[in-house]
Amino acid sequence: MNLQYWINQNGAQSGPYTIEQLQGMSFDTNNTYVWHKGMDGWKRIDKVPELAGLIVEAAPVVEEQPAVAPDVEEAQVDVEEKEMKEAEAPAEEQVEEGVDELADQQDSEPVPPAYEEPVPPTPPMQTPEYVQPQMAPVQTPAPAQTPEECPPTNLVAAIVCAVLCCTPLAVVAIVLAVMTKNKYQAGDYEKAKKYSEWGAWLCILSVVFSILFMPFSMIML
Amino acid sequence: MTARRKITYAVLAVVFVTVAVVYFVFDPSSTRLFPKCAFLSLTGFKCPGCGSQRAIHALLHADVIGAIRYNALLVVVLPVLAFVFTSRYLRDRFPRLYSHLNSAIVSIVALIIVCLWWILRNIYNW
Repeated sequence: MNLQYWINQNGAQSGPYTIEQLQGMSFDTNNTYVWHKGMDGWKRIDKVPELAGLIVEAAPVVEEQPAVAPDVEEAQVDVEEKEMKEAEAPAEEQVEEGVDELADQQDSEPVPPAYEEPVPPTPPMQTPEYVQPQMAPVQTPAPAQTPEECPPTNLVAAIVCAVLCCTPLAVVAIVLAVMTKNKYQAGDYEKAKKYSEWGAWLCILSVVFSILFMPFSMIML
Repeated sequence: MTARRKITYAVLAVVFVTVAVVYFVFDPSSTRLFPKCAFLSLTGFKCPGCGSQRAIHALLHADVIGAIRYNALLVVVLPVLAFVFTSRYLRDRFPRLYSHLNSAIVSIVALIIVCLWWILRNIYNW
């Protein structure tokens, strides 16, 4: 399992991380949300079973305890900083790899969903029970669906082109929408994605074609 | 991301309004500036979209019957399309509705309707 995780901590999004990298980091349970490919939306970190074990409560209260042994504390900070740097170096490599992968797969899919972060704007002082994220309605259909997101079928665009752009190409785009859905339901995500892209291109092509035809039609007819 | 989205929506809204104004003011059946159907002028057969510019002009003037006479499919399909389109943005609230509207059956039905309309309108000269 080489899943990559995106983290949203207090509204700031970062990632992707591997699970090993996450083990070196500390999170505030109440304000940290996680997403990885295949998830329907952001989940609070303690609701993600594989990550629940590594939650470290980031407790600012501890740091405020004044000067029990300042030397020791400083040393601890140093160690922490070193760890952070060590953790960051591989993280950057990972990001670059991730970006390459994204470029390969066309920019549509594997970025974390563009939902507004489910982080409620409540102050962090609230009890965790109160901060139930509003994800419940989204999650209910999740188990019924296949893990991968269905690529867009472009059906609306195709019909708009068929009705407005006067090009039979748009009808082919509708056929491609059907094929996209069929391939997706058969579990063939690669083909589904390919058909989805072809459909989008056909819609664009039909628009371009009718625009190009415009001056021609005005001169000839 | 969100800022870019807002700009996109703003641009789309402006384009939409401009197009609506142009189609309201000018009548496509008497103005030469509007694009002609490539399929019709090349083959002599009507395509599924023929007449939709005139239909839009009629619709903008609240002449539904005239619009149906120009292109009935457009008039029928417009509200459906608007519904399907908004379902995408209400996806978080109605995920079931979204997945139903994006099922293969809906696409197949759309395909059949468009093709039937295409054939029938050339036979009966609708």
